[in-house]
Amino acid sequence: MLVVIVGGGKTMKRVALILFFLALLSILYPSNCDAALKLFVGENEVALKHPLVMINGNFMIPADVFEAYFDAQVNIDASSGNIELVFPGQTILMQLGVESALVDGRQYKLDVPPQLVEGEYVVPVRFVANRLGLSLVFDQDIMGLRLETPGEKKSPVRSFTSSLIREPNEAIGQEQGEEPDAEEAPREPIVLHHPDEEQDLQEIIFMGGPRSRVFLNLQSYTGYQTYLLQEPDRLVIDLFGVGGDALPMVETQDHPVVRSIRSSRFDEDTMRIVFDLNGSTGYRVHPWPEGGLEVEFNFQLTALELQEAEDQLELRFRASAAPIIEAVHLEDPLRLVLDLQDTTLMIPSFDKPMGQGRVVRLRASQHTPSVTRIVLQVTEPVSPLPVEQLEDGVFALPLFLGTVREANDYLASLQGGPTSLPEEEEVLPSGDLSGLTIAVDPGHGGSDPGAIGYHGTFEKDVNLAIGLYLGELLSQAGARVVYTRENDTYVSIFERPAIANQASADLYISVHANAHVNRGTVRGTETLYRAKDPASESLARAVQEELVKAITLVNRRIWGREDLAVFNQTKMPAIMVEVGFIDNADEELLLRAAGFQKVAAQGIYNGIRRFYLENKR
Amino acid sequence: MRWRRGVTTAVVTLILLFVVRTVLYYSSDNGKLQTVTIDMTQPFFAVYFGSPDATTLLPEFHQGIGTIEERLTILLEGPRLDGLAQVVPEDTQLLGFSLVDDVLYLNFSHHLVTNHPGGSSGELITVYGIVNTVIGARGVMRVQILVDGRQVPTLVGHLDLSEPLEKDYELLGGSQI
Repeated sequence: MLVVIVGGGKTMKRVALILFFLALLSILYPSNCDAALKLFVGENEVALKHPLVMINGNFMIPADVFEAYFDAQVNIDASSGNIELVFPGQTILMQLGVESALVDGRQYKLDVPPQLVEGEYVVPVRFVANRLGLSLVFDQDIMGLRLETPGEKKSPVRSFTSSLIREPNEAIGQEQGEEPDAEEAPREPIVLHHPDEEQDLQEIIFMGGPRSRVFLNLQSYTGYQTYLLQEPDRLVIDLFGVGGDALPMVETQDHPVVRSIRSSRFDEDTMRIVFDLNGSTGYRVHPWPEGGLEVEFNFQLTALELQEAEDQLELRFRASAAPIIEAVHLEDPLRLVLDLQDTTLMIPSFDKPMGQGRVVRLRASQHTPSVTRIVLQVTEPVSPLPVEQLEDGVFALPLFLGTVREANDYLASLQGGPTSLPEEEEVLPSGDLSGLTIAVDPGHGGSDPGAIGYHGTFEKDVNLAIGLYLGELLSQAGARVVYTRENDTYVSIFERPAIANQASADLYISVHANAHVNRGTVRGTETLYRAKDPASESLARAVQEELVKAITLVNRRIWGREDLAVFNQTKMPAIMVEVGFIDNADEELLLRAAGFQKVAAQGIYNGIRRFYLENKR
Repeated sequence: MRWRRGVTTAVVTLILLFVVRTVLYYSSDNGKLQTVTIDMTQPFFAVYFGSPDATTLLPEFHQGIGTIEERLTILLEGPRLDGLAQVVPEDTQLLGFSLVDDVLYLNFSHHLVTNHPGGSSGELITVYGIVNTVIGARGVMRVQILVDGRQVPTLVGHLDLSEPLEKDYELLGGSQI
C-alpha cells in the first residue's frame, strides 16, 4: 500500500494517526503470506506466488502450473470463470465455484470447485493428477507436495509417503484412463465442444410414475437453470453448453401433472426445455453422474379429510401417489406433525377446529416448497401406521391410538411370521434355481439390534424381514435356502459364515441396513463384496443394479472389501447388501414398511437370478 | 480541539475494529473453518475424518510432529474443518495405549461401541478414521482396537477386528493425501 502524505500541520497529524492505526490493524490481522509451502514438479520446485491453499482436505494449485510443466494450454475466461486445461490427449474444463468438471465432455464431480485466490486461479490438484495419471505424493524430505509423471520417479520416497493414486471414487466415468506416455510427442489438442457437430440433447424420456419422472439424456452440458412460471403453468430448464438440434415435442397421455415437454434452441449455447404442467407444482432436478438430468415432480395432494370413529382414527387423502411421511410428536399442546415429503398441497391451506373427538384441530399447509405439513392437535397421543391404498389415488393413513412405542409393538405383533407374498407378477420370468444352495444372512439379531433408526426402528428387524422374504422367493424358484438366523436371535459374525460353509452354499447374501457417523445425513443403497473376487463382484453388480431398479433409492456404489468377517471367512461368492440408510428418517420409514421390504427382497432376488443366468455355463 | 477530535476518532475506530474482528470470528460458521493453510516448512500430520457422503475419509492437517497422543486428542475432539464428519461416537474416551513392536494397541471406553450409530459405512469410517490417523505416528504400522481393555471381535457387527489392521488407502479415495 502506498500512502502519499501531502500538506502539513493538523492534516499531517491526522494522517499520521490514520497511519498509526493502519499499522495497528496489520498487527491485529496477522498476514499468513510468509508460510512457505513447497510444490515440486518432478525434481523442480515451483515458484509459488501465494501459499498453497487446502480446502476440505484438497490442495489447490495454480492452474498455470500445468502450462509451465505439463505441456498444457491453459485458457482462462475471466468473464465466465471458465478454466480450460488442454493437455495433449485430454481436455479438462472447470468453472469457478462449480463442483463439476468436464473431461473430454464427460462429467465428473469435484470435491472442491476451482477458486480465485488473490488473483490466481487455483484448481484441485488431486483431481487433475488423477485424470492425467500423475503421481501426487507428500514428501517428508522436501516438506512438500510432489507432482510427477509416474515414469520419471527419481527421488526415493519414504514408504508411507509412496505414490498411490488410483482411479478415485469421484470419477464416475467408467473409462479407464490410459497412462499418458511421458515420451509421447504432444498431439493436437482436443477441442472440448463443437456446437455445430454434436447433438448434445439425445433424448427426452418421460418415465412417469408417482413422481412424474422425466429424463433428459444429455451427451454433455455445463450447467442449467430452472424457472417455474405461471399462466400457463410451466417449468423451464435452460441447459447451458448444449449444442445440436432441438427434439420433437413429447406428449404424455392424460398425465395428471405433465402435459408435454418441448425443447428449443434459446441461443448458441443454450437449449431450453419447457414442461407444460397441469398446475403449479414443486419439482427436483437431479444431475446424473453418468450425464443427463432427471426431473421429478412432487406428489399432488388434492383432498384431505379426517375419519373418526369409536376406536378408529384415520386420515384419508387423495394424491397422485403415497408420499413418504415423516412424523414428529410435539407437546404443549399435544400435536402430531406429519410432513409429507415431496408433496404439493393442491387445495388451499386450512386450519380448522374439529370438535369433541380426540383431534381438536387439523391444519394443513405448504410448509416448504417440497413439504406439505399436516398438524393434528390431539388430546391423547396418536401415532401414524403405514399408509394403505384404498382405491386408485385414495389413501388412508391409520392413526394408532397410543405412543410410537406402542404403535411399533402393535406393528410387530401383526408381523408375527412372514406373511406369504401376494400374487405379484414377477419382473423376470420365474426361473429355475434348483440345485443352488443360497445362504441368506439377515444381519445382527437378538442382543445386537444393529443400527437404530431415527424413529427407533431396529436394523435387525428390517434385515430379518427382508431376508425372510428373499428366502421365500429363492425357495419358490427351487433354490435350497440356508438361513444364518430365522428369528430374533444373536448369532456372531464368525458363526454365520461357518453355517454357510457347512452347508456348502453356492452364494452368500448378507442383508443389512446402513448408517453413517453423521446420523441421518446420507441416503442410498450400496452393495459390498469380497474384494479381488470377480464372482463376488459380478454378483454385487447384478444385485445392486436390480435392487436400485426395484426400490429407486440413490445408487451409491458397489465396493470390494476384505476386512468384513462375512467375506474373509466364507468360501463362496459373498455380498453384503446395504438396502438403505436406517438412520435417515425418510429411508427408515421405507425400510420398516412391509411393502418396501418385499420390493427390496424382490430386487435382490432379481439380481441373484440375473447373476445365475449370466454365469450358468 | 482538532487534536482532541482526532483522538476521539481514533478511539472510536479502535472500538469499531475490535467489534468487527469479533463479529468476523463468530460469523465464520460456529468457528468451523473453510480453509487451512499449513506451513510445510514445519512438521505437520493428517488426522482423518469422514466425508459428508460417508464414502471416504478426508485428511485434516495439523502442524506438529503428530505424536500418538496429539493425533488421538484431535481425533476425539472432532474436525475443525467445515464439511468433515466426526468419526468416533460421542463420549468416547481413550483409556490408554501401548506400542508393542509395530502394533499400536488402543484402548477405548465402551462408548466407542455403545454410542456408535452402526451400519457398515459407519463402522468402516470409525475404524479406519482411527487406524489411518495413528499409522504415521512414529513406529506405528498396525493397530489393534480394544474396548474397555478387551479385544473385541467386531465393533458393530461387520468388520473383523480379531487381527491388527493396516492403513486403508481405499477409504482415502485411493490417494495418500
